[in-house]
Amino acid sequence: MKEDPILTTMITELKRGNLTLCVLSQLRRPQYGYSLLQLLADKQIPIEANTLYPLLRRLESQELLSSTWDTNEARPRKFYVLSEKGTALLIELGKAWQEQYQRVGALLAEEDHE
Amino acid sequence: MSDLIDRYVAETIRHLSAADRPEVSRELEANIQDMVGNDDSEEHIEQVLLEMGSPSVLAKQYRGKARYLIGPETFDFYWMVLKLVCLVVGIVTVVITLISLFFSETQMSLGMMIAKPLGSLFSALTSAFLWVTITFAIMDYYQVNTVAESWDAKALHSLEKAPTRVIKKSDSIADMVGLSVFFLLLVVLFSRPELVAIYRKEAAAVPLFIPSALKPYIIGWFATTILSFIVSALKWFKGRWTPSLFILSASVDLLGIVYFIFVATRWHIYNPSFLQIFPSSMTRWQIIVKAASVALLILTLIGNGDDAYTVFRRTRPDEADSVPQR
Repeated sequence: MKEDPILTTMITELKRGNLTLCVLSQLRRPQYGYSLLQLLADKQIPIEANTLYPLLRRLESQELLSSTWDTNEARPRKFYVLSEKGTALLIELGKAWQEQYQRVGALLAEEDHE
Repeated sequence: MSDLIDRYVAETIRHLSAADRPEVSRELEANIQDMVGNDDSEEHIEQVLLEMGSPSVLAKQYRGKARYLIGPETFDFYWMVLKLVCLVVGIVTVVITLISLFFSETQMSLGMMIAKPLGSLFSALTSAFLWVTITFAIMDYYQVNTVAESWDAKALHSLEKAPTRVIKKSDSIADMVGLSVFFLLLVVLFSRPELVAIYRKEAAAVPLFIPSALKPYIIGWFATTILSFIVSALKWFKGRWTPSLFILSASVDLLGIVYFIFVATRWHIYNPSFLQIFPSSMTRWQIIVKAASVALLILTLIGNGDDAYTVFRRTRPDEADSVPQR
């Protein structure tokens, strides 16, 4: 089947809306850019590198993440982890997502019975 | 260390603010190195960079927001102001150029008489466009908010079904043009008061005013003219009468006329030798000025009364709409 460009755009938008939540959820433990990229890809949430790296930086500037440079390894790496503010926000955002998921789910279930 | 990666990073941070550059550069390079891994062949590096996409797109992501000279929120307002400024500046320029052509002493061909106003019109419109755009670009840069903050459904109720309290745009624009021309005449009067004079063939011109006495009053006149201009612009912007707009407009009109009468009755601004030629004595001149003042005041009051009728009349628009039964 040929891919519908409208559908593709809508799916991309849908995924984009959840991106921040996905990223935050994986930063309870410290990760550096590339490791987070792989971690998300392994969990079926592929994300473009050129989206993830700027996003991390933005979340840091919003004080949701804190960062440290690890220079002990062969390559220096910048590790990000949830800050206190970020942890609190993740819980709230997660709740909001659950709520939305259930409501949308209910709407879709309604359609099925008709 | 790969040359390609360095270039890619340099190309990306070039678009960022100086404060962001060092950190983004270091982090981006580390990330790309991680993506490249141990296979640092040129083909593999190229492939990784291709995945990262264009440096300018990446830089846009880092900046977090698109950059505009004039952003989408401001654009409507900018466009409105631009149209108004160009219209007023254009008409004033043509009027002034035609007046100056009329008074110019040098002979001019028909072609020149057409070309000159067009030339001034072009340069005036160009600079009007330039300054409006620069002003808005600066406002946008510093994030000045031009969007009305809150909107209330009440605003709809105050709009009329049959718009009877409309202020014609063309009227406001004519006011602005008139005031601009008047302002320029005031500038001339301020810098060369001796030009207003009786010119005689056989003797030197006799100016009406004593420049040093008149000049301080003109400064106040500049102020009232600018004030009137602002009110006209406001009337143009609002497009319909409200009680507060009427009160503002009427007070500024009255202020202008009262100030005019105040200046005209400062008898020491007039040149005694002028008054001896016309109308032959100070007493007669005083009578003329006082009569003119009263006439002007009455005309202004009639104008304001007319506006007041439009604003405060009893008839509601929907009543006005309905046709009498009999």
